[in-house]
Amino acid sequence: MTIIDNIVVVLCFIGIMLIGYYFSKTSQDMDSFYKANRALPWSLVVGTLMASWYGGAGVVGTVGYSTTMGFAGFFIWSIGAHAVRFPLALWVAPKISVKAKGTMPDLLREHYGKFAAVLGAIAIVITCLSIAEVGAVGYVGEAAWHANKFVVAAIVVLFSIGVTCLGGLMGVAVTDMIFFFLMVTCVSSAFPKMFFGVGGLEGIKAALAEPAPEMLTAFGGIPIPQAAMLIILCINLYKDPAFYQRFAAANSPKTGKRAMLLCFSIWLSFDVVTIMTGTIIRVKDVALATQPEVSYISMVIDNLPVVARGLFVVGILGAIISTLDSYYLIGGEIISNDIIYMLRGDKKLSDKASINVTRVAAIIFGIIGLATAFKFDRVYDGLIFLNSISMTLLFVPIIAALMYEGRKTTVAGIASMIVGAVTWIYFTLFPVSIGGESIDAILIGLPLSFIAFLIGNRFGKDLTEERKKLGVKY
Amino acid sequence: MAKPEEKKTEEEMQVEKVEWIGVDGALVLLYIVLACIYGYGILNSVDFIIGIMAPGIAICITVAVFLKYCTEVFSFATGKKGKK
Repeated sequence: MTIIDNIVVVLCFIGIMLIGYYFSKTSQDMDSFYKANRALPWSLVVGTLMASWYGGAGVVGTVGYSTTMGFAGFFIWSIGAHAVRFPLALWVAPKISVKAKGTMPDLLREHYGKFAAVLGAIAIVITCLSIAEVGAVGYVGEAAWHANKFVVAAIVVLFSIGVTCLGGLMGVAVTDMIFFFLMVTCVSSAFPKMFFGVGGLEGIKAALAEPAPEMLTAFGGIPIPQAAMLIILCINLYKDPAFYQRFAAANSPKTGKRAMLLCFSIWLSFDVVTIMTGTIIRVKDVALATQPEVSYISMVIDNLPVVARGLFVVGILGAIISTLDSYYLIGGEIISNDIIYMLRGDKKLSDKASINVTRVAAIIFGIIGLATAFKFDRVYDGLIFLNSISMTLLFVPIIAALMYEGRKTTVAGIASMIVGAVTWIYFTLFPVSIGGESIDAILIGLPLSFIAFLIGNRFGKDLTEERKKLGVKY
Repeated sequence: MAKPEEKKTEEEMQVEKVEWIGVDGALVLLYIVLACIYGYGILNSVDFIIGIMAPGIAICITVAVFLKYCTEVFSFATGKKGKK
């Protein structure tokens, strides 16, 4: 990185803080701060969905994993990930847009009661720590400036907190759009030179034919249990509070749906770029002597001209900031409007107090994220760890609340959450193997959570009438 | 049991309706076509598809969305959308 690149980085980040400051003047009440007055246009929803999903863990983490998955990363992770999410875009997103008056715990409370809402809120808040994103920052800092991971992560976390505290959702969405643009254009622009530099696909196949032939087949680079777990993790998005918030903030039910449908094609194309880049890194470093995430950043920087390098670093760091500020905002909103609200005996905080609590929560999230982020060897390990806990707990009750219009009882919701979480913890501590392959706890936790929902649904109180009285749609 | 047989309102019907012969269907088809092309490119070593087309499409859609957003911001800034 040259001085000019560093000046570009500094100027961009000053601009981002100014955007946050600008929106701080327009986000004075809860609806504008948390939901952007439910006025996000289609283009902004595409940008914010894209940037929030493809954070540091999405870009840097996918490259890292592709150094061992190879082509299977595309055929299983990429195609599978997006294919199972089509129902989310086509049917769930429009419903969220109409149905979601508040947050995800609100939805849980309306369908399963207060206890389920508290449990869900705690699980979502843990997910909002986004430790994998903080971990990804370290790799960027190490590769771009040879700087201490922790120091760079601390600076980026500080920026994320700044954007969250100042601009609310509209500030987050606008900065997301800028980061999304920089990240995709810079990462994709650098790719052809790297790709043809190793001789294209024939060069890759020749280089990896002996040391890692499994990487060159459509399904060979991923062991079956890991592949099954990845596919299941793909549906994790169905209970992702960031997507839930975006759909709820879209200016119409069709906006969220079509924004996400377009995102699938961008994600797929961008996945080809990141997965192939991971494979190229393996070609250049067959033994993986250097951390692949660090190699990736260094390689892209080497293949871009001055100024573009600075914009690339802004794009990558921006993608991380986008994800962090999104989850800090959601986590803060849930603490303020759900957890504190319920602890106060259903008494709302004032708009000002609620926003201030969210700001304090964002600072606490940042501190916890920094303290825990570098405990994982790879960025994706952190992502998978957190996703697994929350998924076994939330997936079944959230999907049932959104998609199933029949009887749903308080016992069903609570039972599915507790059974899912306890099963995941137990089988994570005491893993089981089939045919020598370790089975991930999530593969056991999800079906048992569903069974617990079905059994629990025979007992307890159905809250359908209460929802009708409250005017909840559907 | 609840009453799924209750008639849905027009708003609910509109929300759940998927326009298969329209924008929704076109976007789904775009994904399927791209998945097939990229898969074919990887398995048959077609460098153009992987080295040029995939990053090119990612950039083109991104630039188009960004420009669309810029025009919306510009419209708001010049007050076109505020007037009826």
